[in-house]
Amino acid sequence: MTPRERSEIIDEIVALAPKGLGLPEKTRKNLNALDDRELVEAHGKLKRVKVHAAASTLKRSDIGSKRAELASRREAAFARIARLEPNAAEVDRPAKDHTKTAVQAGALILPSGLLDPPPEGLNLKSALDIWNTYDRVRSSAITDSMRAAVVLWLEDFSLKTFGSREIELALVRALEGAPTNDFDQYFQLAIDRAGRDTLRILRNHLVHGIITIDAGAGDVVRLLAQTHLAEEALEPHFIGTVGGRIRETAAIDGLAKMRTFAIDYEPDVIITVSGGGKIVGDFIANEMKMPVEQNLTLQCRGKQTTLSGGWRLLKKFRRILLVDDIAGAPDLLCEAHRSLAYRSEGSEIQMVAFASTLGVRDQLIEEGHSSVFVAHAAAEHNLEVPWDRSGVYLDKHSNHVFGASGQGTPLRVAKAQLRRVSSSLMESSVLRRATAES
Amino acid sequence: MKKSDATGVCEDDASDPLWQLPVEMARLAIDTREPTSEQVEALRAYLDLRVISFRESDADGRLMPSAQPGYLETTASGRRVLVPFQLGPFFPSDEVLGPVVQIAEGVALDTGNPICISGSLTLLSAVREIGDLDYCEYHLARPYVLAERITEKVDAGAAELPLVEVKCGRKLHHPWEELGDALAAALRLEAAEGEAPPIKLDFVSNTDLGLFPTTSLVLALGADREAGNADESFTYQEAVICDDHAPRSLVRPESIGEYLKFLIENSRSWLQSESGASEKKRATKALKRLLSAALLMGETRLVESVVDGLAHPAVAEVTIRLRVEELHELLSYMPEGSAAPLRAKVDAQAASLQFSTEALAMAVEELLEIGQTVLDEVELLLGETGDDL
Repeated sequence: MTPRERSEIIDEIVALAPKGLGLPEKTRKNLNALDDRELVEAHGKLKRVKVHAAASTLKRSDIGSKRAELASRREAAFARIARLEPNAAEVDRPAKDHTKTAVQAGALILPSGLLDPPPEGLNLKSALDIWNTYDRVRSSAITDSMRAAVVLWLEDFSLKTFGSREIELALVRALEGAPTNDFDQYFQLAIDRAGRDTLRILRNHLVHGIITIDAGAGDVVRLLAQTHLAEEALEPHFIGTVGGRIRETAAIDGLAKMRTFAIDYEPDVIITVSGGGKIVGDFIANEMKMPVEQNLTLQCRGKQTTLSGGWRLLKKFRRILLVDDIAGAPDLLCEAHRSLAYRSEGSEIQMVAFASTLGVRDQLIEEGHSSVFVAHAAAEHNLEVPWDRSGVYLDKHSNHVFGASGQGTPLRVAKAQLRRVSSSLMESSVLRRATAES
Repeated sequence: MKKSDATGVCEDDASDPLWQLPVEMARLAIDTREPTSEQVEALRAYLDLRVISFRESDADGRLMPSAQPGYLETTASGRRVLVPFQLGPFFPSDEVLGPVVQIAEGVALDTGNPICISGSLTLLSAVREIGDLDYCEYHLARPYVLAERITEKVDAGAAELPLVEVKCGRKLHHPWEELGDALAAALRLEAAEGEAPPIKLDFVSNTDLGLFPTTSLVLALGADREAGNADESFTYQEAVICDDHAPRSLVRPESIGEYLKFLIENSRSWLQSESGASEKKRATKALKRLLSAALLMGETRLVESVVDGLAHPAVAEVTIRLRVEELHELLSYMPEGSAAPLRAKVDAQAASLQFSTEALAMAVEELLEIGQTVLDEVELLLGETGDDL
């Protein structure tokens, strides 16, 4: 059998393998391992099944819309269940050894009542030891001991829901990309990701506060208080990056924030800056179920900007959301904003970007674009998204795929995960708005 | 939209382009029709193709094609394990399978008998917690010998695997005063192969896997391995531990059809509020049945949805609660001296519970809704499939 014949047979069999669960890929791999005789045999079986299937009286009429409706109901149930809080159990249970859990986790996790009489079983000495270690090494390179100095006050739920190994992995993952030249930034990052975002991504639960038990750690706590205790969930997320590439966990959080921002704003059109921005623009449009005619693309070439479908389309819209993935240069967004404002008199325009350097964000705000939201603000200038910008966005059954069909690796985000992250943001957003209104 | 040349159905609508095969088998069972020899041959070819697709589909990539159609096989604790192809993606990892096989050998009445891993155990990678360990032992010889073996198990009183309850017509426990008479009545000396009612043995297994209610359904089979007690079990849900041929075949349209029919009817009954079933376990039971149905139908997109549902902490919570309840009941039948140390372990399991009753009820409501949408979709896929429906 020639290689071409083999290849054609394999393609034919793979085409009729079950989709999903990685089965088409496995089928191809397994078929490649067969010798010619075995492959011909498998092909014969395929022919037999195909003949049988083709002769079958069974037909599936157009059930796509009904399936979509059921899938939509299911998605709604998933979204609701993701927001449920388990609350305290009503069963009596023995006191938990918090200190042991904390040490295993690589983080000291203190129960809520620490400032009052310490709960029975909590070993305060271990807590102090970790803080003292922190003091000793604060001027040297970051070590595992310093990682352990991250003090998080978590709900008891988190301790029980996540095994210590899970928390440890979450922390390590969060900390691996931390810059080491700026200690404050390190702690900012550590708390940001490990304490809030990572855990929220994992299970929609937030860190509720940070406690010090040693005067030597005062400046750390001050830093934490300045940067996070007062922070709203929808504020930009300052990230430390290595080589400019935004980590996947941070990316998921950023995408959820963009989605939340967009839903909050309720635009009647989404206009995406062409290039990589199309991927996040299509994602937001898809999440908001925007029809194609309300999902437009803006081409910016120097001072010349064109809108897909023509500028006249703008007249019917009153609330415009301008979307980009990386706002690397303020001029581009400013020009895009200017073009839109000029041609849509009386319309409101808000801008949202997946990431930008702090300088760009600040400049946009300085130039009067107060309605700009940046999910990630970073110090790096060479920011990279964790997907292939030459690809496209795809809405798959269980996943959002960013950068599909490109040359590089796409980012797959489970819808359930994004739902979990988004649901907490939505609550926070609604709460913030309600507070502002009151 | 592109059409599949084999099926004429929009490809985007079918996770399995060869969906007609399992659906056709289900229709045979639902309509109580006999399969034709052509259908049997087509099923065999379909199984062979699916074995190629599901080879190494388990987490460890150890499941390899078996000589027996439709089965993949692996080894654990020195024993061969035959696994129906569709169970591959969620089959337990080696780390768990070893102890599972060892427990199987412990509960088996005759080590020469094929014994099957059944229930949630076969889908362990899709669930966070399991309520119990389910086995099914096929006894292929004259049944009377089982009476002697059961008595030996009771007398042995193994600390790691105490036999707590025997059901053969009635339930028997420690101090086992009526065990001999009950077994003699159920397993008559003169009875031929296959002539014995199903016997259910309830153990408590206390091993590295943890403390679990452990059940073995003992089915005496006659010369026709698909007759009599065989109706009590489904081949497509059983991973068979045996050193010889599997006692039953997957190349039976009735097997796949009856199992699918059972899964759909059973999940429907769990989902219906008037079922009177324990509220908290309705969603978990239904979702597990629907996962099995979606796997068998090749509906991988539905599989992903159900797995998402099963991954919710409320499902684990319900499972632990049920396990704790069942363990407490089983321990109540044991001599106090043996039960006391195990009771402490049960209490430790209860300590991991975290949902309030209200929160759990709300979660269960949503999981029921998820289950209902999956069932509706499964029924849609089966129900709109022929002019004669």
